[in-house]
Amino acid sequence: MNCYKFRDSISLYIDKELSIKDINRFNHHLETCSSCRVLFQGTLNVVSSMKKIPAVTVSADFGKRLQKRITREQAREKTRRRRMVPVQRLGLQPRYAFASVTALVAILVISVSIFTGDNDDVPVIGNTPALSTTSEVVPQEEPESHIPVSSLVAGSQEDSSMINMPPIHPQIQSQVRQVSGN
Amino acid sequence: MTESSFPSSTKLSKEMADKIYSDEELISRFQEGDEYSYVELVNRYQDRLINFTYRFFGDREDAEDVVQDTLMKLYTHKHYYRNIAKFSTWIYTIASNLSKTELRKRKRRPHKLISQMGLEGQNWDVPDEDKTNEEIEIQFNETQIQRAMLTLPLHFRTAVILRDIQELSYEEISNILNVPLGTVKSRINRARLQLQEELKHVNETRRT
Repeated sequence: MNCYKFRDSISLYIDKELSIKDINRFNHHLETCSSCRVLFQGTLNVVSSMKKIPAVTVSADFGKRLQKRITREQAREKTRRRRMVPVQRLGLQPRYAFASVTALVAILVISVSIFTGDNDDVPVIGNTPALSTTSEVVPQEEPESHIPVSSLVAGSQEDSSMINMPPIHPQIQSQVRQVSGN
Repeated sequence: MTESSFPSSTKLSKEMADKIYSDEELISRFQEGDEYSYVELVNRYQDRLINFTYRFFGDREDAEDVVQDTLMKLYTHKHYYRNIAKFSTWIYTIASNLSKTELRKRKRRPHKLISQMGLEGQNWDVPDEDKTNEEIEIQFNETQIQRAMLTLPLHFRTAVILRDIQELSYEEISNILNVPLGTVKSRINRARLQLQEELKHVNETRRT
């Protein structure tokens, strides 16, 4: 053990936290190095002096002061609970209050905008025919499908390009042909 | 609850007097609403905590305030304790955190110089006539150690107080400070070496 390692191990030696092997090395260095011996003795004195320090106790009125603080805290808690009771009677929890109010405001705004506003400017949610301004419901034409059904099964190179799909792998093509019987 | 209904420290339940509960059992009972258990915990820890905080601040008033805050936290936050750690670890962690917060507050608005702390009116140059030589030596020793302790960096000071004054194990200190065991070992050793240097300097000044 060198002096550096010895210095690091002093407290562990005093507190019996070293392994037996390290204790032997420590003892050997302690016998051979006089400066480390002085350092060790000094640390030992510090530890024993600290253990001799008389214990401090709390002052006589400590318990009374603590009791007063607790009583105050209990009174505060009681007031807080009393304030919460009317809200709780309604089945409401304060933590949900903000969310509830926000939802209510949102519903109101949407309702007002739907029933009173100029619907030309306001987009109708979901394009519901019943809320449309025209009395006659015009059936929407089905958009023409540009994708031939055949391309989804065994489409040619040309068909695949129409829907911007990569060409189907030849192995998959053959599997699909087997399934479809073509 | 009125002031009188809070159980006084001398008026413990018969059951409490008959059986010695562990700290963990007491906090569990307190969590279930038994305030006598709280009183018992206060009785067990008030002096241990004041010894910790007093060495931390070197000022009795500040130390007592922190212990009061710690015990209030125990009262108001009792449900925060989970039975996975020792109760002592939990309560020391609270006290340690509150002490650090208090010291940080002081740094922002210093009302007392660090060099002035830890004296508490103990002037060792003018010994009390009623005291024996041994008592004077102990008082001198205490004052010097307290002064030297206050020169240590906060993390060294906390570690060495928990080890040498509170006599806690390395493992428990590691849990309280939430640092690895190796760090605790290193901090305690370095703190003791630094204390030794400080005390050596004081003793040399005393001789000259």
